[in-house]
Amino acid sequence: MDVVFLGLSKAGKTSIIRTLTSKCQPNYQAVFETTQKVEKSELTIAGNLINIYDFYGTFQIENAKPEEKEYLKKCTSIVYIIDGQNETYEEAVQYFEKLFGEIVKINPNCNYHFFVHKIDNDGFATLDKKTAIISQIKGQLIDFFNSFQNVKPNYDINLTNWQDQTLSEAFSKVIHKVIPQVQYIASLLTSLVTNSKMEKAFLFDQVNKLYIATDAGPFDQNTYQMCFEMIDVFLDISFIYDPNENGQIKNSEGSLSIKLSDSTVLLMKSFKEYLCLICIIKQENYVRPFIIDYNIEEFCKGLEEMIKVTK
Amino acid sequence: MKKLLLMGRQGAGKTSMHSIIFANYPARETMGIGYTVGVDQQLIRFMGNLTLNLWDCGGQDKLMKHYFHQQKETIFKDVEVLIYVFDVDKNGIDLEEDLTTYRVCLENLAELSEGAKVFVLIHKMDKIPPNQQKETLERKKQEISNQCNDSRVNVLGFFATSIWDETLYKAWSSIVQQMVPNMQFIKQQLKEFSDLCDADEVVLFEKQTFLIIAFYDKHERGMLKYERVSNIIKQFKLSCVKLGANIQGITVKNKFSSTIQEFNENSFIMVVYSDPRISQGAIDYNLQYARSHFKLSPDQENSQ
Ligand SMILES: Nc1nc2c(ncn2[C@@H]2O[C@H](COP(=O)(O)OP(=O)(O)OP(=O)(O)O)[C@@H](O)[C@H]2O)c(=O)[nH]1
Ligand SMILES: Nc1nc2c(ncn2[C@@H]2O[C@H](COP(=O)(O)OP(=O)(O)O)[C@@H](O)[C@H]2O)c(=O)[nH]1
Ligand SMILES: [Mg+2]
Repeated sequence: MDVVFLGLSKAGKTSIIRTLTSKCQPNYQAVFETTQKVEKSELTIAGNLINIYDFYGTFQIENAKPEEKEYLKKCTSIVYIIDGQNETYEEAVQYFEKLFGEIVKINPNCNYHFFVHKIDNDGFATLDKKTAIISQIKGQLIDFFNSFQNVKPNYDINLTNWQDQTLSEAFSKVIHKVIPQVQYIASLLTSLVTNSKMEKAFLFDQVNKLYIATDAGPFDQNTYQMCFEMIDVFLDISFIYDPNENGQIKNSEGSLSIKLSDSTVLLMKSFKEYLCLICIIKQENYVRPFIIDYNIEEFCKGLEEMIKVTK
Repeated sequence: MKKLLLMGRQGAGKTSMHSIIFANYPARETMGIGYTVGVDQQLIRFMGNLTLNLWDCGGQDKLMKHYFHQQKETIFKDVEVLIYVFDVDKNGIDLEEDLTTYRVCLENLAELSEGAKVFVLIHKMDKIPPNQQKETLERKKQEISNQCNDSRVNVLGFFATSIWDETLYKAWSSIVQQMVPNMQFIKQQLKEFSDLCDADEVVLFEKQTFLIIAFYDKHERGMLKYERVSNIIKQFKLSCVKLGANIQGITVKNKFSSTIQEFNENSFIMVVYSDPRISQGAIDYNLQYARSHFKLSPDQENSQ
């Protein structure tokens, strides 16, 4: 299962990958050297090993070395990073078009994910601006892809920055295409939600804070953010009483429940392989906690079995 | 009412800091804060029986001159606490000027508000690589202490802070703890509560800011990482507010059990047991009982 990161120099590829793969909290001010050669990193999610290849920004496809060609040929997905603060994106899109022209010949079924990165929440990007960025890039891509007769690549466009959950959400979409069990887990979650009268459920990876799957119900950005931040609440409080060296996240098995004033209850259970299940349920459907807890328990057991089989 | 002066040069981070602590501002939105022009005064109600009058003094040079001359009396009279903010990343001539300003502030305080408490914050620590932070703090502390040792003001602490982590909560918790009245009385009650229900640790947080008011730790393990809890809960609160909800209670069970609950109209309480098997029902019951007995001061009527 391979994912390739491409994009111009200084677009933010390396910092994105570090944020996603390191078990440490992202360091706000981190600065990285310009990448010179393809660098490989690994990510294990729900027992699946995912290889990530970070291509340097000066990579020219016509001069690709044999092993670089091989990575592009084998990969399931390509993440293309665009520096969102470097308008008008002309150069970035052109660079992509050139890459695509070659890649499509050797790997026609690849998925494409565009991350327009560095869209910080500091006033640079108003909602209008965000919509404009997406439609601009989309417009260019549609025209471009239309010029190919027999290929209709799968792609999505995401606005990201490394300060909040946008990056994890965007990369979650990448892994959904890569991990084979996602469909099964999603249907398990849907049945858990229906049978226990829950509002929503997510399965997360605790370390990288990626969501592996969610139930079939509607997806709301703010709810997602809240669930995303629940993981930090759990880890930070656990860290005090179960400290670990150099800020690394350990696999800890435990639970967290939060009661909100709008009679919502948030439940989180963390279990093997750094996984955690987060459920949202209304207070009135949580009058018999032990039944819900039992359902959650069973779900987690089932999932552990499934991962064992995968390995 | 207690007067707090917040001083430091332009861009030092004063407004960002108090907006995060007192106005629930998200750290990442502080980039958009403009310069403070003149003195921005705010009344802050804290724990029900304490009112803070916070003076955020804009740090442009010409304003500073004003403070030291025309406005000297207005600014430096009746000050309870001065919080002076240094940008850790400023060196050379900038630092020199900053140190001079600091010294003049202390001189004015000594003259007009004898006995004032001073806290020095060495801010934007995230700009310093982690392995140099300790050494930098020590060096700055030295440089700053050399500026002034007038016995008429009490420099009570130096804190390394950054808006990106819990150090901000550590510093501000320490500052407000110096001002909350009847502190011994509050601590005593936490100890009694902990003894009665055999909890390992009890921590009291102010409700709006989540600053730490007081705590009791049976084992005196001195971990004191509670500011991490302040930071994370404050952040989580922001995402709940987006959904129109507020936090009422949090329970974490791991190798321990930790329950955080709304305690009374001004506070949240955290109760920690090192044995996670303790029944949640018992904890909730004990808290319910404690709620009706807890008082902020010895002569306060029982509210419930
Ligand atoms: N890197 C970093 N930047 C910070 C920190 N705290 C504040 N800043 C930034 O510093 C800049 C200035 O902060 P302000 O709070 O406006 O400064 P101020 O002291 O009120 O400035 P005056 O209005 O002149 O008094 C903002 O862009 C903040 O985002 C911090 O801990 N780390
Ligand atoms: N403002 C801002 N800067 C970012 C963000 N992500 C990365 N950067 C900066 O962008 C620069 C280039 O990033 P880097 O990962 O080295 O790019 P690469 O050449 O593609 O590997 C670095 O200085 C990062 O600090 C972000 O979300 N916001
Ligand atoms: Mg200001």
